[in-house]
Amino acid sequence: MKNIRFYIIIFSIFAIFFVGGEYFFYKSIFEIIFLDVGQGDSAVIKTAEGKNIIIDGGPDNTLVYKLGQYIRWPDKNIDLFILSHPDADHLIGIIELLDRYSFKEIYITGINHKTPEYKFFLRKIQEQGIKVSFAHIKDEFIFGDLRIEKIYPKENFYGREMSNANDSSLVLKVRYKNLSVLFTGDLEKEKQEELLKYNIKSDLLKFPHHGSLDSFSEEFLSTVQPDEVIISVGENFFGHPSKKVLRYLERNSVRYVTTQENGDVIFSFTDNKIIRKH
Amino acid sequence: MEKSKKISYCLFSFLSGICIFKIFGFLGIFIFLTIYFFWLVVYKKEKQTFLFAFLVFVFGMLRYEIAELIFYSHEFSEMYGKKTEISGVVTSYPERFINKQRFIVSSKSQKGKILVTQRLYPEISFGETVSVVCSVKKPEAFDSFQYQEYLKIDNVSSLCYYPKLVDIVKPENFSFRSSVYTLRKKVQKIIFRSLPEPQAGILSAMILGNKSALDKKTVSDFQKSGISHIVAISGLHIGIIAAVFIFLFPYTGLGRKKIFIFFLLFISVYLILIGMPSSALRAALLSIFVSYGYLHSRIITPEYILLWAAGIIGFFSPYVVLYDPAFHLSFSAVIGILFFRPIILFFTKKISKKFIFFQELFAVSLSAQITTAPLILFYFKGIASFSVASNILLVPYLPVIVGLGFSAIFLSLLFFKYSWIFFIPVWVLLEFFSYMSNFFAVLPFSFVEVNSFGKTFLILSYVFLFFLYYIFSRKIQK
Repeated sequence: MKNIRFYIIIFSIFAIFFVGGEYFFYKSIFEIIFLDVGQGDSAVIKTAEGKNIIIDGGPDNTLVYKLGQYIRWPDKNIDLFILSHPDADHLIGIIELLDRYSFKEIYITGINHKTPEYKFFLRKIQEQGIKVSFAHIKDEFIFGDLRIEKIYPKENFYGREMSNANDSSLVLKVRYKNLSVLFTGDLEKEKQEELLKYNIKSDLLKFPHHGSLDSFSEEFLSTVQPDEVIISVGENFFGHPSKKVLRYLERNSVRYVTTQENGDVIFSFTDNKIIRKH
Repeated sequence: MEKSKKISYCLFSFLSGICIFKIFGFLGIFIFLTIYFFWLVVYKKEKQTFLFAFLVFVFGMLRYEIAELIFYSHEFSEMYGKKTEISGVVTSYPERFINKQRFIVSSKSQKGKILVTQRLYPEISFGETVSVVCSVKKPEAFDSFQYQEYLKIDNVSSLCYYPKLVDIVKPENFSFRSSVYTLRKKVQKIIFRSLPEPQAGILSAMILGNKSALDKKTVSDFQKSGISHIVAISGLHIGIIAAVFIFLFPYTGLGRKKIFIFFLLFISVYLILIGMPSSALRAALLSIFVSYGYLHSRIITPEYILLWAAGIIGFFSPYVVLYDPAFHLSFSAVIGILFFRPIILFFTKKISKKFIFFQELFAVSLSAQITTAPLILFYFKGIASFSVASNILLVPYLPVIVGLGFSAIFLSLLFFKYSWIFFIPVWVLLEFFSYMSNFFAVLPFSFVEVNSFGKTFLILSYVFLFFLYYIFSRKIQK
């Protein structure tokens, strides 16, 4: 019996030091992580002050398993969740997360979308009494040095039935000090051209619609002028990312990274520099 | 011959009846007669026992044949390949994987069971009545895995992939199992809300048997490090509960009879809570016999109890005895511990008494590995090279984690808001657990693949192990 006690005490002390040590040396910094969730989109923004923002939930529950790596337990708060549009490959992962984390606010366009997943999602956020902000009412979110600005849509999509939900995608400019990242959902080429008149120039670009040819606009890319492009993509039958898109990026010496090849893509931010950690 | 020995022979005959009839059909009767003829030569005076064993053997054969008749009368064969609407009650706890959910529907019209694989939403619950339209498929073997036989364990004869959901109706009447399922969902919610992944998934699998909650990496790490069994609720888990009742409850002043009744009630609810997997059933039956014996100061030999457990399970479901890998692994592990542990302890007796705990742990771990290894090679086509080391290091934590996990859940039921505080010790241990399983999994040659290990090798391995046991046990006796 003594031996068992000794064994358990020694290893428990070791385990506590092993886990505690990792916590002791941890320092929170501003990071954006584009998660490898397969054929879909999901990104996590972590601020130095400990705020957690998620943009899109991905096509399945991969987000649930990935989040434990980036949001350190016992922090179980999501300060803001933004759903670019309600297609399943941007939504599903967040539904399970609603049962596991505390959500303070959810930002959506409010279009009328009839999939079982989206209906379930709306019912769940209503049951849990989570604050919902709509894109036609709110344009901006500020968390210390972080500013999230809605660029698109400018019109009110609330309650509207869309023949192509991609066209309702929220386009967001995420600014941190002097740096910026453009999130584009699945916005297609025609709608991208409406954005050219706005200040969309950004250091990083989340390429729209998993690198699809339908979302490839040379004008748009040359207006954004990104230093690096992130393509959130997984195994698929649609030919994403398009070879034409990749050729264009290579020809114009724009660095790009796909989540399929790289896994999670992690960027950390200083005052005026973005460093890709993975 | 002692009465218990006679019963053992009969139980063994019953199980043999099921297995031999499955393999040889009616030819099995002649095999039985041949084997038992030699037996009769040894035990000349036991003609009556022989006759009774023979009758029980035939009963085993009949039990298998009845199961087959019932199963095939409920098949959906006329629907295979056709788009059909199926309506029925969800009779299994839906398994929720990373990108799909899976549940069994007991069809009202066909009286058979169909396994439905569906998108994650809408979320289906146990006891609901669902109507689905799909093209019904016949299960088939793949990669040498007899999937159609495996599904027979749950009496499933057909498959339905990603159907169109026509209707979902919530159950109106109260049922005991539905309320236990509600409790299961509540416990699940507490675990998921209080812990991050992968710890939440591991604890959910350890306590609720919810293996679908594990992510791919954890499953792979556990398999490569040889500790997959810790997430299969079996002897270790049930043993912990039994130990609490046997050793702690007498302090409450309750009589032995009452303690045993409480134990029976608790174990029954717990079995329903975890969905009654065969490994847990086996363990529960064993623990009930052991607790009964202990609380009534009777000594019952473990081999005898093991046969009773197998006999009872075989009577209720011959398919579990024949096709369930969890049942086979669980039984072979117990057989290993019963027969090989004393041999290993004998050969390691020179080790100082200071290390008796490690010696015991090594003996239990190695003996279970010896008898399960052929089955692991057969079912999983490979074996974890460091399983003995990882088991010695990690298994002692299992009772601690399960105990702390149960306590944290119980406290969270009372104070849900602060649940994460109760889970701190569990989280620390599970974090360490995941780290160590990953450590063993990434070692070179951690998992050795053996693709050509078929039935012949399996049988030869057990014949070899039997001789090994025979030789060593004789040596010890000398």
